[in-house]
Amino acid sequence: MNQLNDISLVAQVVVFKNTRAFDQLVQKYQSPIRRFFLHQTCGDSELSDDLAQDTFIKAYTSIATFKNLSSFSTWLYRIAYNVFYDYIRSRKETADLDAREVDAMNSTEQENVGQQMDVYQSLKMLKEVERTCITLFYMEDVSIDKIAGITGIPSGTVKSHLSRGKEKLATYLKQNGYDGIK
Amino acid sequence: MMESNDDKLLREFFATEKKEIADNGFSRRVMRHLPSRVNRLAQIWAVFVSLVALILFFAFDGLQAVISTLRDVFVSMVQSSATNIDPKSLIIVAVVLVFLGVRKAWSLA
Repeated sequence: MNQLNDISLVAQVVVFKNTRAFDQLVQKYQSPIRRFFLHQTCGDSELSDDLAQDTFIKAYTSIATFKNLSSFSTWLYRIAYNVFYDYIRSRKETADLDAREVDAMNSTEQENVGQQMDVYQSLKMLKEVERTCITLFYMEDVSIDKIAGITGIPSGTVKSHLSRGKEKLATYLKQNGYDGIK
Repeated sequence: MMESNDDKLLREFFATEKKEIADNGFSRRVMRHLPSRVNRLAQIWAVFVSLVALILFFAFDGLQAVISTLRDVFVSMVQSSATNIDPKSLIIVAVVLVFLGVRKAWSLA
């Protein structure tokens, strides 16, 4: 039903150039897409909003290429993933910074009520691709196959990234005294 | 067992962070930057400029100026061709026109 509604809105945008229909799609998906970027940038909300805006504009300009082979959200995440990695590549080309330096620059302090554990601090322990896989899997409840579709990485490799990321994060959390919600 | 414990730990850790992000004008900002809106503004500007040009054209009697210029050009062309007429070039033009006409008729047949 949800997906049918998305398809109906997409059709209205493609056929009638209905910007109100696209506005509904933006309102529906702004939260998960901005959250995705917040995790990738380790909490830089300004940069996240800029990248999310680029994502929606790219989605609008190429919406006619949406073939409904995957859900609209998967298609949107794929664009978001490409926007983020284009940004990372451009930063690396211009500033010659490695991923960890970019992460450090983009990080902000975030208070986590109750546990005093900074989710962005913990995500900085991960490589970019591990972070993408972990956040999509645990935060956005995206299946491994869909993550593979979004990132263009084979499912087996996604599983490896998830496993390595999970191990690193679990170790970090335990070392910092986090042992789950009681 | 270790694997499932880590899984549980991470799920609990991330569950506390999974919050909806309030729109706070983000959608409006995106809609303002859509290319169609930019194109529409460009179209409105082009229509406005065209209208101004049209009004000025008629206000300064542009139609009369164009007609008189065309008339002058035509008259001067006729005068110059009448004085400097070259029978050889006229024959060449006639031959070329006949050749093209025959070829066209041949292709239609």
